[in-house]
Parts: sequence; structure tokens; C-alpha cells
Amino acid sequence: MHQAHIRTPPRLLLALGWASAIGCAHDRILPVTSVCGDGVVTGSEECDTTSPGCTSCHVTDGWQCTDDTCTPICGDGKVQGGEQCDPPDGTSCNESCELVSRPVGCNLTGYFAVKQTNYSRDTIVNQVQTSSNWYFYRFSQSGSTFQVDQALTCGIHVTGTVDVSLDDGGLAALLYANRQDGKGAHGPRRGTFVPTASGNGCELSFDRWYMVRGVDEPTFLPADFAAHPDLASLPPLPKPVDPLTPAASIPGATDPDGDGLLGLALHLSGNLQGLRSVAQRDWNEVSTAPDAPIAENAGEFTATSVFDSQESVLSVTQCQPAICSLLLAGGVPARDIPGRVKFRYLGQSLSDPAVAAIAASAPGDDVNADLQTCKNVRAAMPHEPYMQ
Amino acid sequence: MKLRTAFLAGLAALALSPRDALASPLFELAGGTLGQGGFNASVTAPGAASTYFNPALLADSDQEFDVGLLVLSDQTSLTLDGRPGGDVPTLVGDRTLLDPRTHAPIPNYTMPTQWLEHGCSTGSCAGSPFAARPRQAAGTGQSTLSYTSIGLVSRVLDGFLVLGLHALVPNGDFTQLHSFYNDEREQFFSNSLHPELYSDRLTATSLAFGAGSRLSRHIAIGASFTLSLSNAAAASTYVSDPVDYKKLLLDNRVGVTTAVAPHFGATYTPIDRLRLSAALHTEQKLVLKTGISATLPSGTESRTTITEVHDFVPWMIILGGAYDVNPGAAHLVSVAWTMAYEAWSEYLDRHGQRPDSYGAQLAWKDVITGSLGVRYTHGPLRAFLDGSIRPSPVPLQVGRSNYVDNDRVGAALGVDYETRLFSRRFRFGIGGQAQRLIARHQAKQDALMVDEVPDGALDRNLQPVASARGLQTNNPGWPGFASDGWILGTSIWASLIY
Repeated sequence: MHQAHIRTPPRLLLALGWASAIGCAHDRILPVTSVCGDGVVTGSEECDTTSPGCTSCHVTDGWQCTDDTCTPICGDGKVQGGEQCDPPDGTSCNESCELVSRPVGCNLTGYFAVKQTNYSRDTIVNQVQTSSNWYFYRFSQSGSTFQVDQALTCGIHVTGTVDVSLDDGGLAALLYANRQDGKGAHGPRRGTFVPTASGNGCELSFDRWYMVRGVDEPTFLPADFAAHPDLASLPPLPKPVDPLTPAASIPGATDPDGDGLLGLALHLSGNLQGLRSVAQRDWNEVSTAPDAPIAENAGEFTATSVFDSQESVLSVTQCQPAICSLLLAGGVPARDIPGRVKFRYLGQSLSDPAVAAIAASAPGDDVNADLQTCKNVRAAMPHEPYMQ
Repeated sequence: MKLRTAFLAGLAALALSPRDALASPLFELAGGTLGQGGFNASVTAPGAASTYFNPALLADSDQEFDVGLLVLSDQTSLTLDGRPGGDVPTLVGDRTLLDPRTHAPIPNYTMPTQWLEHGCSTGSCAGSPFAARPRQAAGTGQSTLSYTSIGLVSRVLDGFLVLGLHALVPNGDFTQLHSFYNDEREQFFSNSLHPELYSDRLTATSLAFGAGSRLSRHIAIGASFTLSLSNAAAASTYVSDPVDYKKLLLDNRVGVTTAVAPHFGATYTPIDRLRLSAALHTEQKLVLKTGISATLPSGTESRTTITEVHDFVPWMIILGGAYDVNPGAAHLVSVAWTMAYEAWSEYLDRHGQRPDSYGAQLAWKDVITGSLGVRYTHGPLRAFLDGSIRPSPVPLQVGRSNYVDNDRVGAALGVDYETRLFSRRFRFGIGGQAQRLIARHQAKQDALMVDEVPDGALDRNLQPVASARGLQTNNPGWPGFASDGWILGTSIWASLIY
């Protein structure tokens, strides 16, 4: 409670009489009668939802509740709710507390949810930006070589000086872009997954792959990915006359998300807000660190990634006029912070429980189902902002 | 005649003076605290306090030097209704909630309610630990302050012109200005409600200069002004790191100018036992203009100017009179009455906003206040007792705004005694007052609040957020609040009459 603030010597107040004797007013907040079961968290309630994690409007031991939902705490050693195992052990029990069983040996065949995390620095104040790119893959391996049989590109999310997210149109546009499954102009994307020389695990190498967004793929992708051309040596990305005034036509630029603005629409939130429509080009390649082999039966493992990227801002809109120019700022790869790619093995077939929990249908059959699959991938492998 | 012409010319010059002056909400609240003015100081008790209330009364004042001590206790209680839900979900902390129609991120103008109540530590929020700002934990409705009262009345020009000075200077903390927001924007700061017309306004330094002159046996006029400093600042910053303000570079430029607001008064004495009075107080306010510019390492610059208005007192017309019931009697009894028309519909809050910006039904209204009192004189002894009533200009706060104010009734009394010391005339007095802020409760109408998370908002996976359904607001005044309290004061003073 807020107490009376006395700025006058108490003796003086006493001498002056009753003015000092009435400092009794205070502020308060009336209690609210909580009704457990009305779906509204009030008073002493910790939760108010129908879930085994919420018992009499208090969070059940081993569960966590936020806003609308309660989920079991994966990692507390208790198998409950939808968990298949607990705690995760990196091999048979993944970080979502699902049981996994990979083929014996260095074999990547199967379905994987993949999150690639890269770091860059913005060109305004040099702050670290964390970007997550999600994928849903089906790999097949023969000998030491594996290839992508099915792939969905599941979106991008960036946090840092500004936060970047895609809308439905953007997610749909990326879903089958820059195809890695060999059904486009390039690919399929391949790699090797072989025992290490010392025999203490497997080492991974995933070929460099080039991608563009918001521009015409044949024009701006290299003809031969295997030649590893520098981005600077490729035809320059289209540039607008004035990005503060959206242009109706810019040679080479496309409107993949169908929002009426050329380029891929990136929604900026956080410190700056607005819509940045961009043309992007990048490449990435993935490999295991020499001193960090992958266990043969690991259900979940991490490799390192390197990348390079280019961006051309085609327009900025939906921003306060005074700060629109700030939205033109981009980023450069943070070479001092290695990127990483997390692979989570799901299973061999669509009917395997962990695959079925992610894949709404076989990839490529239905756009809406594939978008749902991507949402499940993102939810299963959440974005992890860079922490210094 | 030349003197009279010069005096009237001086009045005209005052009328054309700049208006951004230090307001005198303290004078208006406490009334005359030197001598026998009380709540009827605009119509009776000529003395130093008349300089502000009605400078025409100076013409009938003794030459005097006054010093006194005033203690005022602001005891305003705020009782906030409990929140039956309506919390802004923690998902808002991700800063990635999207508007369901435009898919644009919802604006940054809200925080998770849980963060406000309990704070957020590293790990559960993106940045450095966020300090809790529990609702109404930083209210400012209770304080007791003391002031030094100073008064001076001096006759010049063979007594034709009577000069006056009256000041109330806070002891300890000098003038404080607190530019709180009166709506959900206050969630980021104190997350509390504050009395609109008391609180920091009680720390205003009130300083009035003036002069009165008797033009004839029946008529006296006067003019005065309140004096203050007006402030303009420019804060230029270089933001090398937006998340570490220890690295902020700051180049301030502050300009201070004096400013005045004029006040006018007149008295008419048709017969010896009756004096009618009128006074006009012009609008008073203290304006702070701050220009803020930020430069980023990229060369990008952004700038804005913020204008704050403090201690606003509207223009007002005061009419009243004093009547001797038994003139010439040893036990003289007089009555005094005052009515004031106060133009609070012109009010500007601390952010320079008019209250009707929240909706026409929330506009403040002009009010008429009244005081009635009695004076008693017996030889060297004088005493008074006043009552006053002042309806609140603030309508029920059913919408976004949280202007806290109450109807007010009050009583003031005082007594002083004249004696001779060291061959000089002295007068010693003591007074007290109690003003009751009449209890008032106001319940918000949800339809008039800002739904800070639009229904159907989507998360980063474009899934609808169930906890966005209905109203979510961190407006500290939602779902309602009540206020009541007391303004209590006591004063002592001594006057040297020369």
C-alpha cells in the first residue's frame, strides 16, 4: 500500500496540530470473486482452462500453463499428457519428449523437421539478429550419399533490433520455392552422411543450396550450384528508383505473396514497425564440426551452417513517415557467431506417431495441409533468440 | 489624473502580457492563508493575500509585512475495482501478434499484464529483466507538505498606489511536475491513477505581484500577475546501442524565460457597510516544450517535439460582497459571499490534451463555485468562519480517461490578535481548514475502452489466439475506480503593520 509521504519535519507537524494526525488515507484494490471454470483467470487462479494440467484452477505439478493452454513440462522426468518419454536423451527421446528410433548406422533415410538458425548484424546499430528458417524433409540415403526426396520450406522468423515475420501469403509463396527435391530447375539437393574416420559417429555434409525470394528464379539463381559462385558475381538484384514510393514494375521483381507489392512482404514489429517488401538471395551449406560427430542413433542432432545473403528493399510501407527510412536497413552475416541446423528425426513413414504429429498429409499433396505441416514444424522447434 | 492614466495603461499592458505563467492552483485550493481572507479572500480582508485574489482590495490594506507557515495534507484515497480478467496475454511479449485483417503486427502500445504485475526476468522475456509495475503501487494521492507564506503591502505615490506581493513557497522539494498519462498509456510508467487537480499541483510555487488604487470613495481597481519561469528544452541524442542506454550520448539545451498571467479586480462600495467585488483571473498554465532528436549510427535521424502543460488554472470570474451586519458595534459582525464561474471546459491535461479528445461525453464542464462566511471583530481580535462548495468539473470517467477528481466541500476558520511589541504593531494569527472530497465511484464501459489486443489476433504461426477474445486492457482505471479523501490544512502567521 502507498503510505503517506511526509516532506515536513515531524516535530513541526506535531506543533501545528491535527494535520499530522490524519495521514491515514491509502490506495487499495478491491478483491475479485473468482469463478473457476469461467475461462477467465482472476484473483488467485493460476489457470482456468479444461486440461489435466489445470486442476481446480491451479497448475498441476509437472505442467505449465500460459494464456490459453497447458502443456506438460518436457524434461522434468515425468511422462504425462501427450509425452512418450521424459527426459530427452538426444537419442531415443527427442526434445519434444517423443520416442524416436533411427535406422542403425549412418543413414539419414526418413522424415525430418529441421530448423536452421543464422545470425546477422543489422546495419543500423550492429545488433545481432537471429533468423530461423524451418524445413520439412524426407531424405533417402544410398551408400554414403543422401538426397532430398520431399521438401517444404516452412518460413522465416527474425528477432533482434526488429522482428520479422511472414503473413499467410508469404508462407504459401515460400512453401515450394527453390525446390530442393529435384522437381525444379536444380537438384535434388544432396549430401553425405558417413562414419567418421575414428568411427565414433557420423559426419554430415549437406550441399550448398542457393535460394531467391521476390525475384524470378531462372534469372537470379546461378546456373550451376556446384560451382559455388559468389553472390556478388551473379546478376544484381533489382533495385527500385525510390523504395519509399512502391513501384508498379521493377524488372526481375515478382510479387510471390500476391499482396500487390513487388517482393516478398516482411512484416516488421518490435522496435520498428512496418512492411518491407524485398528481393533476397542467399546460399547455405551444412556440415558437422570435426570435433562434434553425430551419434549413429541420434534422434536429434545439430550441425553447423555457413551462409551468405543479399537483399534489395523494393519498398517500405505501413510505417510512420519519420522512421520509414530506418526500415531500409538490412543486415550482414555475423561471421563470429556460427549458425546451426537442428535436425529432428520423426520416422520412416507418415503413419509413424512423430511424423503424423507433424505432417498433415504427404508433402506436396495439398497447399493448406502443407501450410499446417509447416506450422507444426515451427511449433515443435520454436525460434530461439540470440542471448549474449 | 496623469497617475490614474498611467495606472490604467499599466493594466492594459498586463492584459497583453504572455500567458504561459506558473499557475496558482495552490492559491485557489487553500484560499487566503495570511489574515482573514479564507475562502472569501476575493471580497474581504484587504491584505497581502489580496494581491492574487482581488488586487483592488489592496487599496484598503494596511502597510504590512507578513510571514507565515502553511501545512497542507493531501489525503486522497483511490480504490480500484478488481480486474475480472481482461488481461493482455503473455504472447504479446513476443511482439509478433498480428492483426487478423491486415496481418500487420499489432502496435507496440501494450505489455503483457502478467509482466506489469510480476515483472519479467531474463529467459521469459527477450531482453533485460523487466521491473514489475503493479497496478496502483505508485499512486501519489497522499502527501503532507509545508509552505512558507510571505506577504508585503506598501503604499507609494502618496498612498495613491498600493503595491502588494504574495508568495507561497514549498519548503523542501521545490516545484514537482509529473506528466502522467490519464489512460492505458500509463501502464508503462506508474501503472497507477493520480489525483488530477491535487498531487504534484500542490508543489507549485505561487508568486503574485500587483497593485491596487482607490479611484474614488466608492471605486477601487487593481491588477496583478502571477510570475513564473517558462521552460523550453532540446535533447539531442546519439543512440549507439538501442538496448544499452548507458552508451547514449546526450546534448541538452535548456532555455528559461519568465512569463506572467494577469489578474484584475475592482470593488464598489455604494454604502459604507457594503462592498461589492469583482475579479477576473486569466488562464494560467506552465508549458514545457521539449524537442527530442535521435541520431543513429546509420545516419538516420528522427525528431519530435513534446509539449506538456502543468498546473492549468482556467480563466474565472469572481463576484461577491461583504456586508457589515452591525456597523460601529463593539462586536462587529460581517457576512461575506463569493461566487466564481470557472471555465474548466478549456482544461488541458499534463500532455496538453483536452479531455474531450476521449469523446464529447467526457468533456470537462464549466462550474460555479460558492463560498459563504462570517467575520467577527472585537477590538484587537478578529475571527472568521467560511464554508465553500465546489462541484467537480470532471464527468464520470466511463471511458479511456482516468481523470480523478471529486466534488469538494470545505470549511475554514481563523483568528488573529493585534498587539504592540517594541513599539510596533504586530498581528499574530492561526487558522485551519478541512475540505472533503466527496466519495465518487465510476465504472468503465467496456465499449469505450481500447481493446489492446484485437479479437482474432494471430500468433506467429498464424493461429488465432483465444486469449485475444473480448476486451484486453491494461488501463489501470479499468474496470472502475472510486476516490474520496480530505484536504486538510493549518497555518500560522505574523504581520508587522507599519
